[in-house]
Amino acid sequence: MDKKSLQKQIFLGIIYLTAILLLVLLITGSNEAIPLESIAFVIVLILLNYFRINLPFYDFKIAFAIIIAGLLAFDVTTAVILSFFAFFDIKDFKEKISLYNLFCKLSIYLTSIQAAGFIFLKFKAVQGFNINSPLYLFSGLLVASFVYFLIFNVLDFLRIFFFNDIKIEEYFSFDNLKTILFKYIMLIAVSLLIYLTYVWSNYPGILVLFIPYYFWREIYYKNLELEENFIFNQRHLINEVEKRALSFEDHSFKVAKISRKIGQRIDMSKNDLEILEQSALLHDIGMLGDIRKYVSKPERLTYEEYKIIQNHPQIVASAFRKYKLFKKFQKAVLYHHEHFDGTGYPQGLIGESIPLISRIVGVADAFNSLTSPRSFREKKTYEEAKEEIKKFSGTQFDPDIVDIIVYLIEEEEL
Amino acid sequence: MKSGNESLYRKLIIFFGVIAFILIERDLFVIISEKADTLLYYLISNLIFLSLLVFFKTRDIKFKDDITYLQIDISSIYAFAFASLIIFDLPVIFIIFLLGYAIFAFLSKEKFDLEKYSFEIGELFIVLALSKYIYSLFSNYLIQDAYFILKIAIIAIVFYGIVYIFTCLRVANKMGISFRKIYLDVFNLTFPISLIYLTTGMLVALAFKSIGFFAFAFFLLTFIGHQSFQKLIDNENLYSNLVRLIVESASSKSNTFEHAEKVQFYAINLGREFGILGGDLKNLGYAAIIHDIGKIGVDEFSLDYILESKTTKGGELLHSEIGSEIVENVPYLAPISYVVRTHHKPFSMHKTKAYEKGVIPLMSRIIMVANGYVRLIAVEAEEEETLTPSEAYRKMRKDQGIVYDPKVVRTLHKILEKEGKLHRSKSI
Repeated sequence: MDKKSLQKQIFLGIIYLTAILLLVLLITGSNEAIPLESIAFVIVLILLNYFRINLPFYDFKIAFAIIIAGLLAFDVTTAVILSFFAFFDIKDFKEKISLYNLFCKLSIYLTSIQAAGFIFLKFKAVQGFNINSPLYLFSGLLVASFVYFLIFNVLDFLRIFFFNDIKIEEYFSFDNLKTILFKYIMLIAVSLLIYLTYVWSNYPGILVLFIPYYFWREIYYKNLELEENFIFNQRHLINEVEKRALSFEDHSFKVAKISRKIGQRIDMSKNDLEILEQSALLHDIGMLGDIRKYVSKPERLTYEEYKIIQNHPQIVASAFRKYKLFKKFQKAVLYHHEHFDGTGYPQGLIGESIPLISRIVGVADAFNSLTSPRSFREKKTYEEAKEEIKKFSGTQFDPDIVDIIVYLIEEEEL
Repeated sequence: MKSGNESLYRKLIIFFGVIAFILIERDLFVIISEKADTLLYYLISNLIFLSLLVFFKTRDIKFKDDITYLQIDISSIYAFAFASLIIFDLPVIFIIFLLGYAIFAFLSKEKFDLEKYSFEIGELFIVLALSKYIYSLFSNYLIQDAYFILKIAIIAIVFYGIVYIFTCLRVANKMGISFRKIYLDVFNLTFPISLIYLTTGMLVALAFKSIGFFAFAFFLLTFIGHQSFQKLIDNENLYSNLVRLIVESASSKSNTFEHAEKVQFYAINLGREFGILGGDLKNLGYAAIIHDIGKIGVDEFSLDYILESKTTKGGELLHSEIGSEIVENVPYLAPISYVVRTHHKPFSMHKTKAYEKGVIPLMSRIIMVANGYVRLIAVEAEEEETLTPSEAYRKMRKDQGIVYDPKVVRTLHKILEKEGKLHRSKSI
């Protein structure tokens, strides 16, 4: 602990010193006036910071792109001023960061942009380069943004390392590196966009640039809201309808939960888990129609009635085909009563030819049915249900999945 | 009658589109000779533009709302149309788009429909020609370079206005509804994405002046916006598909899905006549398709039958109350629970002391009428005979004031008349 706090002091010292030194050099060295058009950059920077967008992979700091663009369009001084405005991030103030941390952040901003600016000026001065050619522009942008990106991220990583507790291995995971590369490409693209817009349409163009961003952001957030709430609404609608039509309490909901737990144990991808969960929610909707009066019958079913109930996987197949967005759940719903040994319905599929999701839902469905009260019998205990399912492993159920659910029961995760 | 109006409008558009084409193309050779020295570069730009155009056309969104029946095609082509207005000359633009559509039609797996393509191109030609004409009126006054941004802004606004009007006309024509009933819904749906098309097209046009056809890279922004919008449409459809799927699964011989769909159809049409729009119209559609879901709880073997008596304390019909309870527990549908609860309330109880809440919402009164009418004209398995539309209407008119809201019944009459259903002797 002591070693780390010593390293921290040294780091902060170096950072503060560098930033102040560079700042002094800049102020004494430059005598250019700050162009008025840069105000447009400031305005858009503030707007974009306020209307920020939280992408799922990372909070891409659009402010960086504006700083780089400001460097290209104007000069280092303007870019430094833009950095100041980018630094004033309301989110940080809300989180109540310590003063040392705050100054450290500011210093990092200043150091990064001045380093990038310095390299860029050197690049500009290289002889033989035509200032107006796109090639020169693009390569200059690449270099400047690379320097900026590298220095900022390294210093910021150190800052987070010293002020918070992070594990180095976690930070440098492959996924993280992928997102870092993505952010870098976004940085170049957006900086280029902003700079070029400025070149061809001056400050009004910059302000116009904000419009598609704003509306795209609106669409993005609306999408997010709809997606997040969908499964919730689906669960409740199916629950309510099942409760009244079949006297099942929370049946599909519980089957979905159990299926999800099974799926998680076999490391299904996030996408597949969603399809699994939704298939499980929908698996018994075939029972809601005319079939329902046989399902809740307390007396024994006749052979014909039993056969009618066995229709419930297929009866909604045509409905699923109608709705394009639900087609992906059709197979799982259709085959959830297939048996592993081929004696199931409707088609008598065997073994692995039954879709994995159907096999999982089949087991989860059986377990939940056994442990819930039904009109023709009392509910069984978890132990009794477990034994019942084990009895049919390999015949009705996929043995691998039976093993998983037995494990979950015994570890009391259900 | 309805389809006659539709094809007349379409023929007019095609006709004026052709006229516009002929008038504009007269200048084609003049333009080409002017560009003789940079012809190759010009051609390359056109070719790249053309290929991008075809690609983006394949991503057209055919929006069809299952709940409100709103039908619009949303095409990112408009970004290209706007950019081309500024970059190219009109005769060249027409040729490019004509070629683009031809290539698209050739590559498309759908059967070639000459009328459909002629209509789309005709509409596009008219929009472009009008925009360019109005723009030229302005640009005579704004010659200085400093006004360039202003000129672009003006042409953008003009272009958007013209596109919007023609879109509304097209949608109104296709759906057989009057313009003023549709313009707000079209606006709410298309405004954000139209602005994205417009402004990204603008950026392309501005960049083209300096870096030529590399500027077309800005269409990537159009693409991103367009794909997000497609996702939004899909997400909205998820909800409507879910509700329809559940209602269809829960339907039975005595409570068919066709009945629910027909009630939805008449309810939406009645709602539009009453000026119900946007989110409210959507709620009405949902309420109409789901209004009888409560019947699943009325069977002898269901939980509710065992627990409740035939009419509840509120004096409701059992299935209305059950339906409203179901809907109330689903956040997305909760706003319509009161409508579902009161959809069998007789009109005589509206605004009376006898009914605890006093007011039966308009949506319930609409569904009441739609429901009654659909039942009367439906083919019953046994017992009652089918009635023709006019017989059904007359029967309902007898009950108006007591069971049905007279205003809604009158509106139903208007709709049936428009459909031409009242003077036929046989039912459908």
